[in-house]
Amino acid sequence: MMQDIIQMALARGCQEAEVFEEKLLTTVVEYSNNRLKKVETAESHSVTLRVKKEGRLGFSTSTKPGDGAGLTERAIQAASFGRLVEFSFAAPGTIPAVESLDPLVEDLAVEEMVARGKEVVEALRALHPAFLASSRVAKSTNEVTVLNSRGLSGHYRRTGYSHSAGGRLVEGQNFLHVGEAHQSARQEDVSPALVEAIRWSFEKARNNVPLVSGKYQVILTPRATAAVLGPVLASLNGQALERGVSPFVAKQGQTLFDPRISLEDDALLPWGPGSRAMDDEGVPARRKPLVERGTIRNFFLDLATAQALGEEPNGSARRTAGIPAPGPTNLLMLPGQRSYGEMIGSLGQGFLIDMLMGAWAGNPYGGSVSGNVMLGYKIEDGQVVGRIKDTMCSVNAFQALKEQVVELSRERKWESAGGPNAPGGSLYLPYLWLDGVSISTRQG
Amino acid sequence: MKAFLTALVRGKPVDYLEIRLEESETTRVEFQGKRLENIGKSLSYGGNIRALVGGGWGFVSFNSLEGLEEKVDLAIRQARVAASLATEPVRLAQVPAVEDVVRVRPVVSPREINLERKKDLLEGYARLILNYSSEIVSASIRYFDKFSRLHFANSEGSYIEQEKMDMGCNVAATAAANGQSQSAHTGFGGSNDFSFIVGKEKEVEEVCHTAISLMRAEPIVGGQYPVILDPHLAGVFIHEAFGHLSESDGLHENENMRKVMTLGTRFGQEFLNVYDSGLDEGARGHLVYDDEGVRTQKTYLIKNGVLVGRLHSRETAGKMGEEPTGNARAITYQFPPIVRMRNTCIEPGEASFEDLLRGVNLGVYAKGAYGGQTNGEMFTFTAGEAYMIRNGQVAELVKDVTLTGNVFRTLKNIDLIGRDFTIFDSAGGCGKGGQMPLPVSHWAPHVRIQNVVIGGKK
Repeated sequence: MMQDIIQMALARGCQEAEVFEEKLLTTVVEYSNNRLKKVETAESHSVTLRVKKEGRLGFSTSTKPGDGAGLTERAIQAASFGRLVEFSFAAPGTIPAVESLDPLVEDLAVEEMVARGKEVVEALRALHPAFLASSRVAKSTNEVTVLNSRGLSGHYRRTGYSHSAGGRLVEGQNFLHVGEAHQSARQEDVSPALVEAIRWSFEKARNNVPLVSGKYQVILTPRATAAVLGPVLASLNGQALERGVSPFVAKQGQTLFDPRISLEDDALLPWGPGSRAMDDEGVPARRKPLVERGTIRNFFLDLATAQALGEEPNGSARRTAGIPAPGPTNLLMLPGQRSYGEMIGSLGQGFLIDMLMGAWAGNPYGGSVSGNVMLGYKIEDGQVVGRIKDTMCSVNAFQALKEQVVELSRERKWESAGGPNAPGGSLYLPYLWLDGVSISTRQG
Repeated sequence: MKAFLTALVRGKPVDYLEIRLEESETTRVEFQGKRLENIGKSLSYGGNIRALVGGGWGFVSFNSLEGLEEKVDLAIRQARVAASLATEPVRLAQVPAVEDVVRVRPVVSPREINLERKKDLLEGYARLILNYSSEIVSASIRYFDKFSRLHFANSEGSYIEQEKMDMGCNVAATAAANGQSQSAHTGFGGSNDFSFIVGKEKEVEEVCHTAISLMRAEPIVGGQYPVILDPHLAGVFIHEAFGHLSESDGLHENENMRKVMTLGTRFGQEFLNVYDSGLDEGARGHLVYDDEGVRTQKTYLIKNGVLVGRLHSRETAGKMGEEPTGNARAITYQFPPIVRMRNTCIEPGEASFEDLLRGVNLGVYAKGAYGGQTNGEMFTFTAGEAYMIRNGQVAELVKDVTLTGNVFRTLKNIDLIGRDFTIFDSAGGCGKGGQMPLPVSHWAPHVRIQNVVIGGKK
């Protein structure tokens, strides 16, 4: 049927045609305020057609079953004003095998998801009589097909499993939010680990401690590290290079960061939450170094940006509302040697920053990352002594990763890139110790 | 359709059942860098069924209308699973059953404007940006218009057909030189008139000017300042800092939060008045019925500085023994409705801009917003552009200005409200519970706040 759409487009005079089809089945069990609130199932099926006609690109996407003719009509109409493109849709290639389909996810019963969610909520409720716990267990099966008029016919199925949990305690006008999340292509009961991590945060944050504005030694948790990497990932995006807004224009091969900073994108990582066999334009997925010991090596490229920059596409296309754009799959930051516990122990005076609110806002290409410390702790003599509040943490990401790196931990955690402008994908990141980090707080 | 949907939700063994179908057509035109990036029209079609049994909800969303009876059964089965662990039933606040048909009444409909005209208009702005100066390296223009038709039926006999229209356009210019880059942006939006994006040359040129000026601006020195917010940023502020706190799904099951938000509590000075309304035609937050079929209204949240109301779905209103306000909204058929804002406004005061500046020896004048976020107690947002105020005068442009604070303290620190209430819609949207971007509006005048913490590297 998808082939018919391609044939229909070619019969209407298109030079090339490409169909992207996605089927998604998601089941979610959600607890909030200590209670099981809802069980959800979402089935979705979308088809996107891109055509090239008289050198111009047109696209349309539809979730209406049997809308092939309408889709073709709208894509051709759009192509009459579309952008002139020189690239062709992806050539057929060898699609690698990736471990990303766990049959146990598909077989996982709703009752078991309910039980896992319950276990966490029950344990968290015990933290404090007024603590309101939440827990969300989700599973998904994603089926993607890309076909084009060059004979490409790629298809894969992948599974996803996630369990996030946390909660909040309100005492007077003092609010405390804590939370942890787990994601993988494989299902696994991680309830005890989630509870343990949340309990640690909760207990350390019960007591608010004062601080003075200044420049400090700071350890960022993997979640806060994700916020600091925001400008770097935005600037490694082929679109930012093509538009000339990335500070990495013409910097390939140059060392812009501390030699301990290495970033790679690995779509082939077994059971990674972002693992997949091909990208959303049908280009085979791969592992690629982005920053190697501080040196810029590769960018995220889809067909259009690769052509514009005179490079080969590298399997980075991701679609939002049908439109492809380059972005990460599994973004891995190489770890350090010591445990983060040892790092905290040897930090002396400083802060452990976990959740930064609003740090995504602003112009990413300038590197400014500034957020309210929604969850952060003061460290004195190598001990976490309490929670800090009413505080902004500000760094320039480019400068920090070049001049302020002290150490990276050997532990890593999976995080999602934060904020509405995030490029998607999953990030596997260590704890990051920086010096000279600006901390501003209220006076008096 | 009516007979089919009403029959489907009637007589099932549930406490409540609803079905929502949605068909929408979205046109997007996007210029990026130096050229047209995307142009196209897309169709979204789908629906959902939401069932309530005892204290549990089941929710099923789909694209295909085939096998709807089985989907109803699945939603009910899921609700029963959820109900099996529930400690108390959910009681929805009573609302009258409604039968209505709501059509959009556009001044100039974007559906009457052909794709070529839209492309030409936006291309004009892109060219204006790229030709403004050699320092400008990139233009970004993202335009969309969306027309939706919704069908809603519930087990209480309501049946509503409702059309909605939403439009937005974000315009950004980026200047770059010597490895440094700076962007400035503005946005426009509306719900009933394509003219919202016509004749914006002056605003587009101002964006270019700001981007270039930011290249020479110094980062702000972090600290605590008196801050004057322009109407756009004041709108984002009231949305983030107070609007989200008024959403009752954060209160209804949280005893301690209910104490914080006890009606009659003083939140600001005598002259602070805040409301949220679905009634403003032309606003992106304009809404006749919410996604539970409840008629919207103008809901006062703060009157004369005192908390007088909050935003409800039927579930939160039922739990708290208050009236539903028509704030249950879902971004698309793929999501259940949750409590959301519509058009959240600060009513005008009496101060002129000169009054606001008077007495500020060292402060910040912050305009426009890149975005903001809140956790209820703390808020943060990043200004689009900001100037120092020195000795009561607007002085030099500064960059990297992120404001933060405690919601309760900051509302009390509002010490002057301007008389220049400004009707303005941006192209962004509100995000909550994974539902982003929902069209909302926030109209406000200039506002002055004392003792705002601003982050800064210096």
